[in-house]
Amino acid sequence: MSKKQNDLFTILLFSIFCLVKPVSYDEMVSRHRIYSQETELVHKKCSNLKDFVLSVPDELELLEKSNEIILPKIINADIKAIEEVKEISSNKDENFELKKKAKTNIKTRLGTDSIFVEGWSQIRTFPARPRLNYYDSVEQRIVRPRLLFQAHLTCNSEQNKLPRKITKQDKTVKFKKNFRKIFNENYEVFGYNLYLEEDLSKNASKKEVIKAKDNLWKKYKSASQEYLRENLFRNPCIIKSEKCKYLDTSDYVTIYYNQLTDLFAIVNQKSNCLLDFGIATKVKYAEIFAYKSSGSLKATDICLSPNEKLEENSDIDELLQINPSSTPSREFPKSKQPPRQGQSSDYSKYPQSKKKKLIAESGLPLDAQQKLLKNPELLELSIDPRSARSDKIDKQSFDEAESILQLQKETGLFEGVRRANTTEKIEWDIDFILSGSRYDEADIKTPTSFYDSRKGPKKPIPQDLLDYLARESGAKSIAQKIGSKRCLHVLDLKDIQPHQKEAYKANFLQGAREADPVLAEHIIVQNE
Amino acid sequence: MINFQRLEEVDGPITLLGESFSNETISDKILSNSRFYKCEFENIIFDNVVFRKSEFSLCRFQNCQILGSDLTRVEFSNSSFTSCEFQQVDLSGSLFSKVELSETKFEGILLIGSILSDLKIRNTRFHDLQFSETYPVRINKLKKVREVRDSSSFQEILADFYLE
Repeated sequence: MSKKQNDLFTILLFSIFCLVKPVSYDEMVSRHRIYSQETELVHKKCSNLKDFVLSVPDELELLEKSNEIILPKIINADIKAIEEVKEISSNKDENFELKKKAKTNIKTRLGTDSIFVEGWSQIRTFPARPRLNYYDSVEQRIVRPRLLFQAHLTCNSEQNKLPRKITKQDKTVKFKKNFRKIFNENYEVFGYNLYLEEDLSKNASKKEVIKAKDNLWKKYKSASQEYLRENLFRNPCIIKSEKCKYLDTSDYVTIYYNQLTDLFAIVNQKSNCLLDFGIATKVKYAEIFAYKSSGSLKATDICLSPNEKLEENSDIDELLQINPSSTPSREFPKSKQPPRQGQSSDYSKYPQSKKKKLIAESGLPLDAQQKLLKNPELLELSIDPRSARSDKIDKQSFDEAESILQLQKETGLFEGVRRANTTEKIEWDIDFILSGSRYDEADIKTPTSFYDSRKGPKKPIPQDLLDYLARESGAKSIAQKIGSKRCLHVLDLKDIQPHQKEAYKANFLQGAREADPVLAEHIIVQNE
Repeated sequence: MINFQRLEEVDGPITLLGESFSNETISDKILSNSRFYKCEFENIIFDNVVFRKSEFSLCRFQNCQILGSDLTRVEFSNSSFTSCEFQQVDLSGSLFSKVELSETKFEGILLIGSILSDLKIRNTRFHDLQFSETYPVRINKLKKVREVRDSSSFQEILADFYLE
C-alpha cells in the first residue's frame, strides 16, 4: 500500500470512527432541538399545561447575545419592601462564588451558561392570572378566568420568543430562613392580597388604600422574602433576563419571571439587591421585556386583546388534555396517590352497559348525562363513594366533579384528582384528593339561589336571606377545615343567578374571612 | 305552622324554604345534599334517613327523633333543637354552628371530626359518644378552638356552653 493509499485509508477509518462515535446526551442536546436543555428542564418541572406549552421547542430560535431591555415602573413597588430586602446584598462575595459554581454546572446547546431565544418585535398586552376575575380597563368589563387562561397561554407562546435564559437554581439572591412558614402555606396569598388591594381601591379613599397596603406589608413583607427565594431564585424554570434597564436606576438589572405564577422580581445586578417584586396581574407584563433598542412603546404595537385571540386558540381544549407523565409530584402515601390523567382509573372497571345504567339512573338532565357519557373522568369523579348508595351519581356529586375538572383545566393548580377512598379513614370527609399541587385536598361548595316550591316552579331565594346564607356558608366552609391548611376551597357560583353572583361572592368571602382570614385566602371562586 | 307539607313525598336532594312539617315518620329516605332554610319540624321521627352533606339553616326542631340515621357532614346553623332525641346517629364531620340544644338527648353518637361552634345548651344529655384520636371533635367558642378526644373532656368543655 502506497503512502497516499495509506493516508486515504487512515482518513476513511477516522471518518467512520467519527460517524459511529457514541454521542453523549449533552452532545445530543447541543445538536438537536428536540433534546434541547430547555425542554428537558421544563418537562422535569412541569406542573401543568402552561409549562408544557412553554416547553414546545418549535418557536425557539437561538441568539448569540442578549439584548438590553428597558423596564417601565411597575405596580406594587413598595419602598418599605425594598428597604426590607436590601439585606440580600450583604453577602455579595459568597453569593458570587455560588453563582460561578451554578454557572459551570449548566450545559446548553451552545455550550454556554444560558439559552437565548429569538427576539420579539411586538409588544402584547395580556392579563395574567387565570385565578381571579380580572377587570380589563380597556374593555371596561370583567374578563372571565377561562378567557384569562387562554390569554395566558397565548402569552406563554409569545414569550417563547423573548430573550431569556432558564437557569438552574439561582442561589445568588438569599433571604433569611425565619419566615418559611407563612408563604409556604399560603401559595396564593400574594396574588390574593394584591387583588384585595385593587378591589379596595375601587371604593376606598387614598388614605385607606395606603393604610391597607401598610397593613398588608406589615404582615407579609418578611414572608415574601422566603416566598421569592423558593419561587424565583430557587426555581429552575423561571425566565431570567439579564442586562435589563430599570427606568430609574443607573445600573443594569436582572428580571426573574415565573410564568406559572406571574411572580416577578427585579434585582440590581451590581449590588445584587432586590429592587422590586410582585405579581404581574394588571401589569402589561410583556413590557417587562420590551426592548430598549426598539425605542419607546408604540400604541400600534400593543395588539390584540385576549378575547380577540381566542379563536386562534381553539385547540387549547385539546392541549389541556396533555399532561406530561414525567412531571414529578409531591409525595403521597401509595394508597392516597390520585390517578394521573391518562392512567387507567376506576372508571375503567365499569363496562359500557354499567356506565350507561349509572348515568340513566342519575336523574340528571340530558346534557349532563351526555357529558358523563363523553367524559369518563367526569363520570368517575361524579361517583362519590361516600354516598349512602355506592356507585350512584347525584347532582351534587356531578356538580362537584364538574367544578373540580373545570378548575384543573383553567388553573392547572393540580395535576391529579380523585374521589376519597372510603377505606381510608383519613379521607372520609374530603371531597377530592389532589396531587401535584401544594394542596392535598379540595372542598367544593356549589350554592344555589333557588329553592323548591312544591306548589309550583322553583323560586329565587330572597336576597336578604341569600346574603345571610352566603356569609354563613363562607364561615362554615372555613370552620369545617380548620387546621387543614392544605385544603383548596372552591366556591362554584354556576347555580347562582348572574345578578346575585357578585353579592354572593362578597358575602361568602366576608364570612370566610371572619372565620379565619388566613384560610380564607385559599378560596377560589368559579363561574363568577 | 304555615304549611303542612308531607316530607315523605320528598325525594332526593331538595332545597326548601320556609316549610313546616309535623307529625310524620320519615324512614329509609335519602335526602343527602338537601338544603332546608327557615324550616320547622315538629313531632317528626327520622328513622334511617340519610341527610349526608345537607344543610339546615334557621331551622327549628321540636319533639323530633333522629334514629339510626346518617348525618355525616351535615350542617346545622342558627337552628334549635327542643326536646329532641338523637339515637345511633353518625354525626361525623358535622357542623353545629350557633345551635341551641334544649332538653335534648344524644345517645350512641359517632362524633368523628365534628365541629361544635358557639352552642347554647340547656338540660341536654350526652351518652355513649364515640370519638376519634386522629379526628377530634373541635369545639369553638369565641374563636377559640379546643379539641376533644374523649367523653370526659367533652363533657368538661361543653360545660362552658351550658346556660343557666
